[in-house]
Amino acid sequence: MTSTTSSLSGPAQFGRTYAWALRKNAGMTALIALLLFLANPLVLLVSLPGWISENAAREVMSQADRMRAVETAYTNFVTKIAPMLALAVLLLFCLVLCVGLFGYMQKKRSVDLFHALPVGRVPMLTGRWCAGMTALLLPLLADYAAMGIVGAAYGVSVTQGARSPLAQMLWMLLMCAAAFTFCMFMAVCTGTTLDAMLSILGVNGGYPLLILCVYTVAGMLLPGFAAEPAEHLAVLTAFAPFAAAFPAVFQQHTVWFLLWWILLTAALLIGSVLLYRRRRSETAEDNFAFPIPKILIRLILTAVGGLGFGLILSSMRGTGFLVGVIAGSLATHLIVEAVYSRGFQRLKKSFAWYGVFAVLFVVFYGALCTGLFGYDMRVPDPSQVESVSIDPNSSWTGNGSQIIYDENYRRLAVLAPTIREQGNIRTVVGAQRSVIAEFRARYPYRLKTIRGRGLSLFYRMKDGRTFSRTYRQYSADMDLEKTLDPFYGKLSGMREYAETRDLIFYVAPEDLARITMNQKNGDRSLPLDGAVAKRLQQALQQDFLDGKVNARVTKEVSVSLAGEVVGAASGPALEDLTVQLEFRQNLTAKTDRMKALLGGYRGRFNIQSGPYQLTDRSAATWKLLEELKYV
Amino acid sequence: MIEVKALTKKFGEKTALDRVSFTIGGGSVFGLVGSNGAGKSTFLRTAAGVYFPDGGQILIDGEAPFENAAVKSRVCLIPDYPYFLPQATLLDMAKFYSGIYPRWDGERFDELCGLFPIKKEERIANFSKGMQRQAALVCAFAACPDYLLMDEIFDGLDPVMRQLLKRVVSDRVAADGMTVIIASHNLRELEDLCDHVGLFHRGGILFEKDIDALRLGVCKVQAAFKPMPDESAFSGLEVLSRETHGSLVNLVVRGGREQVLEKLNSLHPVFAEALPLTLEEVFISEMEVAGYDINNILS
Repeated sequence: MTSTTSSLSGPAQFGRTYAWALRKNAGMTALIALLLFLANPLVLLVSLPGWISENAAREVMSQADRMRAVETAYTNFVTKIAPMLALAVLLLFCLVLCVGLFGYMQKKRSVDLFHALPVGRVPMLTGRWCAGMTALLLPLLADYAAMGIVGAAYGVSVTQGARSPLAQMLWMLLMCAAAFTFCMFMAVCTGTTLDAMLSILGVNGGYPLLILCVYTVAGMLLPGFAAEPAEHLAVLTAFAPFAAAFPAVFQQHTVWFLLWWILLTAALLIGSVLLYRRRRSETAEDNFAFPIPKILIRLILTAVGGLGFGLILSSMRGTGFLVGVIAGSLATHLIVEAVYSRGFQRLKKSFAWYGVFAVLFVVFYGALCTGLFGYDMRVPDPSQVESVSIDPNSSWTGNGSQIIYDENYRRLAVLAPTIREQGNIRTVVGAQRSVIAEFRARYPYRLKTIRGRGLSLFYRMKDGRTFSRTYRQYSADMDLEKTLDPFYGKLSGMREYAETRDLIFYVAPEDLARITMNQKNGDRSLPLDGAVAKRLQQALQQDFLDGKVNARVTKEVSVSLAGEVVGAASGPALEDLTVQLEFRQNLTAKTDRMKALLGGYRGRFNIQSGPYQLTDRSAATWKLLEELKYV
Repeated sequence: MIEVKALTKKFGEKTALDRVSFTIGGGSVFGLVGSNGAGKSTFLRTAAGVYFPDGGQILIDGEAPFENAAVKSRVCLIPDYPYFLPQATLLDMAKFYSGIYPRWDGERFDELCGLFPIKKEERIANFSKGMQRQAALVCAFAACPDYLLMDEIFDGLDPVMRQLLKRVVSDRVAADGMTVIIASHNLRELEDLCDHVGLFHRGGILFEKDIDALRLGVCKVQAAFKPMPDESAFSGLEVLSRETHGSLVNLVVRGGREQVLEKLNSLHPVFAEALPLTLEEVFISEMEVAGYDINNILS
């Protein structure tokens, strides 16, 4: 027969799919919008009048201060509480929408319908993806618009310097796009909805745990390596969008972090489309349409089980690590295989992949035991070092002031003592060499759980590169504090070290608001006027240069059988006086040093201040306080 | 026209279609018959562009259907278990199909809804099996495809609905030149409806013939002999199956009726007569030749 038919064009196929999927999910979109409205604008609508009347009752406050207090409360809600709730709801609905929109490819009957339709697979998938994104985007936009309207109705807005709600909303959108695209990718790769959900949870839970275990094992095994998980959230959650969403929305990030999530989302989207085009319809109701994700997820979870159980056993008994790794990895492999294969029919075959894990583990553990190809021995060439920041990680009689926060008490900067003079840099590198020698005496390295104080060094090289090492005492037969004692002695004598130890060298006298003297016979707190503040600042600076304030505790450190570092604190301290400084709130940078420390930040800031403990009565500060009859 | 050239489809280790080649002419009603697991449903899904062939090709008017929206817009598949959108009514399905199939005919949809006793406002999930098939048929016919592929379509339909279906199919073939392929085990119904039939067995096609030619090419004869001649006496006939009860012998023989009777009469039977042969008997005989015999299965 001859007949002519004009089929839908590619864009028309996309448009029809998008419109239809959006219409089908209109109820879901409305539900998300309702939940977000209940969680955010409604709560704000109820709370705002309360905050206003609460502050209106405070007669001691000026009208401007009252408004500022309400704005701070509004800002806290809009930038901290609201995004938290919104993100939780949106991430949950990423899963729900994924099942609704992509579940069709995991049922043989629905595949017969959808794959027989005159709609290409690319428009079918992308149309549904766009519909899902719209279902997530519209309620979020409405949520933020509603919060803005509620704020405007009461004449409040987000305070200056706070994280921009718009930026947070855009981050939320990006992370939702990443999470939703990740779900779609898994739906394309798997054959059943259960396997898709298990895989999504497996990667989002397993990957961060794996990195955490790897960091922990490497930190316990490799001298010089220490990674604080909180400082490496970007790496920790690099392939886990659900886990990365919260830090992404609530923390400041580099442009690389932003770029990574944009690129990963794009890669997942393109990967999903390419794989879906190759996906065999008959794989619906099988475990997986493509085997690679299953292999990777099983490998990740096996490694997490092995390393995790190894660490648990090694914390009970130092030699239990390897036993724990074998037992934990084997058990996890069996569990994952049984869950994915719904039984043990393919168990024998799967052991080939357990072998891959075993080989990877041996390579990983072996590399760390032998110093990771010279990582343990590496020191920078002192002549190429521009500066080195030092965290002696020792005990001090007082903390002083090192941390700067912005107006909303988000951490802006932490002062770290920094050395720039060549002679001093050579001393630091020398100290690092002596620490390396101490560790190298115990080569090849073995896993130790005992931790003690140590030394962190952060070098900035002249060519712009950085080099950092953190040495922690991990062995009962090692006393790093003692090894470093001569170095700490030299360090205390370095003027540039003393001048970069405390923010008292960075602030202007007028930034000081009040002094509190904690004495045995009680506390005494006095406001500081300009002249006194200036003299007090000079006295404290002199004491830092003379080593007469916040001295290092030179206690005898020993390690108990339980692995705790114990020792009596016996530093040089004037026991009947601790000075507390109170800085004014919402400061601006007045000195060049402070401006340099804050980098490009030009907003207001606050300083967290700790105690200043004088060593003896010869300290300049003590003499000043005596002269002022404060003590 | 559908051209099938060395079509191969595998599911893991299992080969569902093994280098199948045949042609289905346009405007015909083609019956696909075969044993369970012969590859009939796989063939239909491959023809509808649901499955991608592992080897060979299937061409609909010269174009492969897989990922080809232009071809697929002219093809409609009703699988053995038709799927409907969750919570959908027939009206919802019509709305869905009308946005996708460019030749969707709303008037025909309404007309078919009048013919088949189903309520278009009711949820399809609440329909009986037969009514769900009717719903699928209504949607498929309203999409006005050039090629309608139906898998076990008679299952669950009552005799009246079967007759109605056959009438609607015949009307559409006559009026629009629609090509219909029906995979079914219900040979009685196919016999009435199809003009061509293809016999699938273990992933291959045993034959593809005009149904009349098939009937004429195989005949059933009954003859009585006294005494019964040796088995070798029948060697001149291409016997597909043979049953002997005393002096009475029933034979299914390949060849023309006159030609077979002539050969049989040369053996001087007490009597010999040709009996009408149903498609089912042809199917069973051919399958026995292919080794798919109840006696073989039981043994």
